Parts: sequence; structure tokens; C-alpha cells
Amino acid sequence: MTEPVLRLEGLTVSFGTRRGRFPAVEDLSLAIAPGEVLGLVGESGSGKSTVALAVMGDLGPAGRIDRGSLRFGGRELAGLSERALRPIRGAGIAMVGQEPMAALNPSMRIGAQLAEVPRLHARVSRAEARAAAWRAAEEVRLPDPERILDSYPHQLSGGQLQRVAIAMALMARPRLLILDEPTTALDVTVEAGIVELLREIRQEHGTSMLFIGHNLALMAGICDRIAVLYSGRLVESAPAPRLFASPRHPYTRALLRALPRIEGARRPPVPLAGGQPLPHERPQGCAFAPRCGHAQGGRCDVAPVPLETAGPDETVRCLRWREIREQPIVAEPLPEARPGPAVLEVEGLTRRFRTARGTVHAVEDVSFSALEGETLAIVGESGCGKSTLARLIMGLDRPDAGRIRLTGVEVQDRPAGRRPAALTAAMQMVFQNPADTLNPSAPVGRQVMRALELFQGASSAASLRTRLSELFGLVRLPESLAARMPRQLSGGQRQRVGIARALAGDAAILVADEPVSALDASVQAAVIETLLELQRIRRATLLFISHDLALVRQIADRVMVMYLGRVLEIGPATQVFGPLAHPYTRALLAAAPRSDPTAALRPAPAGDPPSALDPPSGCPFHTRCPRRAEVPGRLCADRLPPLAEVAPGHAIRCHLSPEELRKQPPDEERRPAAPLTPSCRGAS
Amino acid sequence: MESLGWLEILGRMALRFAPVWAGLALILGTGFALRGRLGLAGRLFGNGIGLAGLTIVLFWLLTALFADLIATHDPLAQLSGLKNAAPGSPAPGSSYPFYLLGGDSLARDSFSRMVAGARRVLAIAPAATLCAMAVGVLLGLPAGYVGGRLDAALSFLANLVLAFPVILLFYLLVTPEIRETALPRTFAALLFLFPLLFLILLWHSRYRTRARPWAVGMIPILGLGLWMWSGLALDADPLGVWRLEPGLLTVFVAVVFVNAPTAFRIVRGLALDLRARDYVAAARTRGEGPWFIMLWEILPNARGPLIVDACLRVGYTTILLGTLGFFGLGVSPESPDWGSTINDGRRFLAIYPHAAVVPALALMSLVLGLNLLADALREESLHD
Ligand SMILES: Nc1ncnc2c1ncn2[C@@H]1O[C@H](COP(=O)(O)OP(=O)(O)OP(=O)(O)O)[C@@H](O)[C@H]1O
Ligand code: SF4
Ligand code: SF4
Ligand SMILES: [Mg+2]
Repeated sequence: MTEPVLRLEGLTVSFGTRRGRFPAVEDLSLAIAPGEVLGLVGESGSGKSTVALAVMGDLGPAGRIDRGSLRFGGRELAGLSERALRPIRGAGIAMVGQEPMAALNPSMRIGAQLAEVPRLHARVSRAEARAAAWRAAEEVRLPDPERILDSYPHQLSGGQLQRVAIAMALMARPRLLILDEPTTALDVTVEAGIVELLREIRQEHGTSMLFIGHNLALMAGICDRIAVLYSGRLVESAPAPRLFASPRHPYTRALLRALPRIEGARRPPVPLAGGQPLPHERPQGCAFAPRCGHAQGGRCDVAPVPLETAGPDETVRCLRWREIREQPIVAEPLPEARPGPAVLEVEGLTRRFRTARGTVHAVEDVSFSALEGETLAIVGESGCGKSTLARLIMGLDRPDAGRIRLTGVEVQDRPAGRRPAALTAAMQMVFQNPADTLNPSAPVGRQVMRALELFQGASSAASLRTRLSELFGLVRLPESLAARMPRQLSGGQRQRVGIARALAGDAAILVADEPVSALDASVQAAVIETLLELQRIRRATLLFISHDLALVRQIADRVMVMYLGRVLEIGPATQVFGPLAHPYTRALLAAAPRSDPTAALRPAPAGDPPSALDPPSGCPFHTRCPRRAEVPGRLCADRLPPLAEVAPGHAIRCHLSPEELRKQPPDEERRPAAPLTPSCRGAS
Repeated sequence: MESLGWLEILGRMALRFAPVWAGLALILGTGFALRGRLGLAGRLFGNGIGLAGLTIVLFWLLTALFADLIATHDPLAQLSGLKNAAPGSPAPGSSYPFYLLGGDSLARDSFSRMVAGARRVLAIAPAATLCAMAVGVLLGLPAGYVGGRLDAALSFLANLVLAFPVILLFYLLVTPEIRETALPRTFAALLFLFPLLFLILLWHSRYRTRARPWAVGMIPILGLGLWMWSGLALDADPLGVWRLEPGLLTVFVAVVFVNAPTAFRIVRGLALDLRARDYVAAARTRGEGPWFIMLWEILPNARGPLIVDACLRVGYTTILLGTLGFFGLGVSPESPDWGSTINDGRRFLAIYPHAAVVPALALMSLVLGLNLLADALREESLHD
């Protein structure tokens, strides 16, 4: 076997805090072969970024490598001084983070920044550096390199910036590329493009990669091997296909069950109860025992569980992995919704923002209605106007035109605060960002209580308190948490408090703007479960705004697809995800990561969404539409197609006829899988 | 009797400050024991700079509090023969046998004047700062939160006041011609209304839906508030408990007036930043009124920067008061406040430096302490 590019042996990293030193990563052993992509997956707080920082020698003043070795190409890095590390870091290891802006200088043109890299490392001439920058830009498939090299960072989109960051990292021809959640801040379509690019880079240059992330579905598409971290310790590692086909550790199994799957229609993800202990709060025995369904008292909770070798290249940290035979648990499919009458009707809603650079068409002529007891999902790429639509409906913003009828009453001219109390209580919102949804300076119980006081002011103090504990029970939160401040709660718990607050007035309509997108998969599944349960029990209407198509497919009754402020398609979920769908919906579906490493690759839609600042004339999607050529003449570019009904309750905005749209079954777009086999290992 | 040596002077001074030491020990000891539960304030104990700042500020606060116990003489009394006396000179036949830090040009005790000056400075500076903050909060929050034309108008007003040279403004406000008009009283009546209004809005917006707690809070706020307001601003307290001498009132009004616009700007900026938060949107969607959102959702989350600003502002106000006193503005010539004392002592600075140096050092150390405290608070609040 060839010498691995990177080998960690018993690596233990700790951080000093006010209250003492706590290990963030313990006894971690890993190896990355030349040309291999190793995925390191774990929930937030599991220590995955710490691994990246340790390899980069960038732990900061508080961090320290306590034990273990960290060998890069046979050279020991642990204990090296900053000076000695710098050349290795520059030429041998490069890192791309979640925030590309952090790696770039905001006041320097992209071209100049790229050209700096070869000048630093190889002392080449200015012209050569410029040429190298150009090549690098082309290599990461940046469209129109000329223009991009000449721009400042703030003029580029998130996806383009991430490509620039990757180009910069690649210019030094590193042997190891560390990617720390490189696509978390990006749209699915853009994410798919970046993943495709990484795959190409690996094939062309044989660069080894350490791909750190929390989204297993995404990693399935790129990683050869996957290592799962839990509470700072490795719990399982195996080749990706094996891990997905037959996970060994109960935690890995739970993670896979909690994963939204694009192929699993109407089966909600299965949540994993509880939270990950911080490394210093770990129970005595197996760290996962408190949440493990297979835990055995007297066995699992006695002593730390050793890491076992389960096969060639496979390890697992569980005492019972040989014994556990479990049928793959799948959730009960959701029952068909029995929608009632329309409770929310929106007609011709339009909102434009006049900015210094022009008018943003955030929401254009949107009409739909939401029925009692259904889940209506609103999907689309970032900036397509989903949040603006939600804010308009909630009265946080005023529409320029259009009507909003809430249980028959027109409310478009009444901003929040001026609506009658009954209507205010009837429609409430769940917000996206768990860090921001609660007031950081008030105990969470008091915040829910405040909503109760407003909505049920007439009740006595005692009955309000009973109601508060009922609400906490409803969202499955222990009442003891009511006295805590928001920062003392986890993200998932905060989202639940937000849901409890929204339910204080017995809301009939819940508008949830990306309620789970900032949460880890297992927590995400639990919050979704709570939402769905409430919706089913109380026959509430759930307006579920999301960019995660897999999740939408699993839980939505109806789906509305938006693009640059317009509705491109609306219909029952089964039909929207079926053979007759809008080309944009197809593209979104194709870009969604599949949690199956053996699945064939699908091309992502080309390019970033155009800006809502000056939306293209005609069909908004025509600049990226793969099927535009099938429409005669310049129709797509000149005329906006109508939102035409193609089946009862299913409308599509496209010039192609339903028959033509149907012609292309979803799988035809697939192309032969790129060779992802380990054959290209050791190519460098 | 012999004059005292420096060691003896220091020893005797330390002894005079005994109540301060006791208070310091008590406060710092309790604070240290409870530091885990005190939040931001508690974390100052783990921060060297913060602890130093806190100690200095507390020292002066306690000095102001126990001034009567600490001072050796009446700060206005003159003893014959002790004009410009050196530190440690004996002062036979008075309440204390020595002038610990010497006498000034009118034969008054420098030490006692410094101690009495602390009381004056620490009575005015924090109160004026709080008043200015109340004005800044009540105008800055709507400017930032509501925005639009209201913001434009208020910001214009603030800039107008800021554009006026401060010293000129003071001269104007304290010239006898203007002091005799109703202007200072009117201004005072208006400015002193803000803290009261702040408390009323705070309470009302929180408890408007519940009659009992509403009344329980509102009655004392209105009763106490109006009583103090009538006494301090209108000099019409029927019981005669609250009153401010006219010269001091003018100084107070002037200090609040120049501080308010900068406080306004800070609050407005913070509100502008915080109004886009989801919890603010959540409050709006459940039908909260604007004052609840501003005072209960936005203000508590802006407290970190505001506390830091208040610390710096007390320091700045102390200096401002000193400057005013130095120019003899607004305070009676007898007043022991540090600014006037420095001014009095400056004429003989070359020969008898102690009369000016003592209050100057006092002023410097207090401002230094406040700045250290502000720095530490800023640093610690970043760790949240
Ligand atoms: N207050 C505003 N002023 C100017 N432009 C705005 C404002 N609010 C939103 N926009 C613009 O309107 C468009 C739609 O924004 P919106 O936030 O609704 O998108 P979104 O679909 O929710 O995106 P994401 O998935 O990123 O949350 C964007 O181009 C955005 O920049
Ligand atoms: S060791 Fe026991 S508790 Fe831990 S994962 Fe295995 S079965 Fe579960
Ligand atoms: S109208 Fe034309 S551009 Fe738009 S989706 Fe249909 S085929 Fe594509
Ligand atoms: Mg949004």
C-alpha cells in the first residue's frame, strides 16, 4: 500500500476555556490515501472542524494538540512551529471553508488575488502569474473569466466566490485539499455544481480531499470513504457504498434514517431523540448510550468503548455491532391529507423593492390558495422571493399590488399589529434562524407566556400557566427549560420554543420559513415530526418554505415552485414530482443530492439564478432552461408563458405543451456515472 | 506641632478612608463570591483591567457616599495662617490637627475639598448621563425602528445640536441674561420628563393587557416620578425634599443637552441594526405595539454597547463638569468641585502645586477608572 497523504494517529485536541480544558477531539485515527476523498461527518459540535484546524495548524491560542501524531506525506506536523508549518501548509495542504469571503480580500480584484499565489510560492513574473490566474479561473469553470478576474469579491455570487476560493486553493497544487462544509451557504443547484467540480478536480489532478460536512446525502456523491464523528470520537468508518448500504453503528443507522431522501415520497424522516453530549459531559461508557435503542445497562455504560476493526478499512465503536440485526426502520407513510376549504387566498400579489441599483422584483403576480389541513410547500432557489412572500402574508411588509384573504377577510392593507386579534392569532410564523428567533435577553418561558397573554389575555394567570405547560408538552420540551435563556438551549430546542410561541393563539395557519434548514439532520427530523404532528392533530395549514426538495417531497401535500418572484408550477406533490413537471422543477430535482453513492450522476442546471434586479424578459427561466430549444422562435425570450392548468389543480408556466413536457422522463437526463472507483487512487 | 512627613500623611489618609476600604471589601467580596451568577458584571472579576476599573470607580463612589465621615474639615472653612500651607501642616484648634494635603489660597483644607468635590461630581455626572441616555433612548429607538421621515427629522435635530460648539453653548446657557429667562427651567422641565416617560412607557407596554400589575407599577412610577420632577425641574416640591440650586440646574441642563444627541445616535444605530432580527418580526406578527418592541425586544439586546457608552459618558461628563468649573461657569465660586478647585489653584501652580494637583489627580483617576471599566465591559460582552 502506498504511503497515505495524511495519517492521524490517536489525535487528541483540547480547547482551553474559562472553565478549564475540554477535549474537542479524542483519540482520532484516520488515513487518506493519495487521490482519495475522505468524508468526515458529524453533527454540529462533534469536532469535525477542529480536525481540519488541527491539520492546518490553525487551532488558535486556546487550542492544543495533547497527544497523537499527525503525519503529512510521512512528515510529522504535530509540534511543528508556526514557521515550519507555513511552507507545508501553503504548498502541500490547502483549505476551503464555508465562507469564501473569509479567504478573500474584499478590496482587491479577484485576478490580482489569484495572481498573488504563484508569486508568493514560486516567484514567477507578473505576466506568468496573470496567466496562471486565468488558467485557474478556467479550471474551476468560472464563466467569463475575463470579467470575473476583473471584479471585486462583492460583485460575485456565493457560488462564484466559492469557485474562486477553490481556484485559489488549487493554484499551489496541494496534495491535500480540506473542504470544511464548502457548500453549506449555497443553493442546491449551485451546490451540485461545486460538487461536480470537485469530482472533476479529483479526477484530473488526483488531489486527495478531506471533505467535512453534516449532510450525508451530499457526501454520498463525492466521498470514497466516510468517517463518522460523535461527540469528538470516531464511531464508524467504512467505504461510502458499504456505509450507506449496511451501516454498523447505531448512530450511523439513525443518521441515515433521519436523512431526507429525495427518493422517499411521503415518508417523513425518522428523528433521533436527544442531543449529542459535549465531550466533557460524555457519559462514562458509550457516548451514544443515552440515545441508543440497543444500549444494554451494565454493558454499554461501564467503560469507554474501544474502536474495533470490522473489516478491511472498516472500523466501528460499538460493543454490540455484531449482534444488532435490525430491519431498516422507515416511517409510516403520511396519510393522504383531507384538505378542507381555502383558509388563505392570495391573488396577484406583487412586491418590488426600489433600490439604488434598480428595482428588485421580489414577488411578481403570485396567486395561490392554501387549504385547511394541508401542507403546502413553497420551494425555489435563494432570492426567488419565498421569504418576501411569507413576510407579505404575515403583514410584516406591504404588497404593492394584490390581495390576501385570510379566512375570507382581506388583510393586505393591514400590517401586523393592525390586524384584528383573532386574525393575528389565527396565522403565526416559525422563523428560520434558531439563533435569532427568540429574544436573547428573556427566559424562553416568559416569551411564550407573553404570546399567551396577548392572545388569551382574558384568562386568569393560573390558566395561562396551565396553557404554557400544555404548549411545552405539545412541542415535546421539558417544562424545566422554561426558565432558561435562549443561549442555554440547543438549536432544535429553540425552534420548538418558537413553534410553541406560534401556537399560543391556536394558530390555524403556520407559516414556517425554512424552519429546519439551520439544524442538523437528526434534530431536523425531530422538529419536522413535531410540526407534522401538530398539523395532523389540529388540522392546521402548514405553509412550509424550504429549499430542500428531498424534505419537501417527503412531507408536502402540495408544492409551489417559485423562480425570480414568479410561480412556475403549483400542484399536488405527487404530480409535481412526477413525469409531468416544469423544466425548472426537474432541474431542481436533478440537483438534489441523493443519499446513495451508487446513484448515477445528474447534471446540475447551468449557472446561477439571474438577479431579481432585472429579471429577464419572457419566461424568467429561459436563460438557464435546457429545453428552450424545443420552443420555436424567440417565444421563450419574448413572451411570459401563462400559468396554465395541465391537470386538475396542477398548473405549469411553460410554452411547451403538457405532452411535450411529459416526453422526457426524469431518468433520461442521467448520464453514465463518472468513474468514481478507487482506480484513480494513487494517480498523482 | 511638627509638620507631617509624607509617609505619615499617607498613613493618616488611608485611615480617614477607612469606611471606603470597608465598603470596597464588602462589595468586592460579595461580588467575587457571587461572580458566577452575576453575568457580565461577574465576569469583570476574571479580567484584570475590569477589576482595576471597578475598584477605582467604586472607591470614588464610596468616597462620595461617606464624604462627611472622611473629610477632616468643613470644605468651606478658612483657618488663619494656613493659606497655601504645605501638605501635612498642623492645623491647631480645628476639627483635625492637620491639613493633610495642605491649604489652598483661601486657607481651606485641600483634602476635605477634594473629598467633598467627589460628592458633587458623582452626584451630577451619573445623573446627567442617565438623563441624557433616557433622552437618547426615547428618541433614538423610534428613529431607528420606525425610520423614514421621523428618523430624518430627529437626526437633523441631533446634528444641529452637535454642530454647535459646546463651549459656546455653555457660555450662552450660563450667561446671566439667559439664566434669568425661563429658558433653563423650561429646558429642565422638558429634559427631566424623559426619564419619567421612559419608565411609564416601559411599564405600560409590558402590562397593558393585565390591569393588576399595570396599576401596581404605574401608581408608584407616576407618584414618585411627578414628585421628583416637580421638585427638581420646577422647584415646586410641596414637601421641599427635591430641589436643585439654580446654578446647578443650568449646568445639569447644559450637560444633558450636549450629551443627548450622541446618545441618540448610538441608540438609533443599534435599533437600526436590531430591528431586522427575527424576534422583532415575531413580536410584530403577534401584534405587539411599537413601544413594546422597542423597549422590550430591542433595548435589552442593545444593553451591552449602551452600558459601555454610559461608562465612557460619565467620564466625559466628569471632565466636562471640570471644564465648566474651571471656567467658573454655573457653579458658585465657593464650590469644592474639582474643576473650580483646579482653577483656583492654578494661579500659584509654580509655587504651591498641591492645591491644583490634588483635584487634578482625583479627576484623572476617576476618568481612568471609568475608561478601564468601559474597556473591560466591551471586551467581556464580546465573549457572549
Ligand atoms: N428590504 C429589501 N430591500 C431590497 N431588496 C430586498 C429586500 N428584501 C428582499 N429583497 C430582495 O428580494 C429578492 C427576494 O428575496 P427573498 O428574501 O424573498 O428570497 P428567498 O427566496 O427567501 O431567499 P432565501 O432562500 O435566500 O431565503 C432578493 O433579490 C432580495 O435581495
Ligand atoms: S455500545 Fe451499546 S450504547 Fe453504544 S452504540 Fe453500541 S449498543 Fe449502543
Ligand atoms: S417557457 Fe421556454 S424557457 Fe421557460 S421553461 Fe418553458 S421551455 Fe423553458
Ligand atoms: Mg428566505
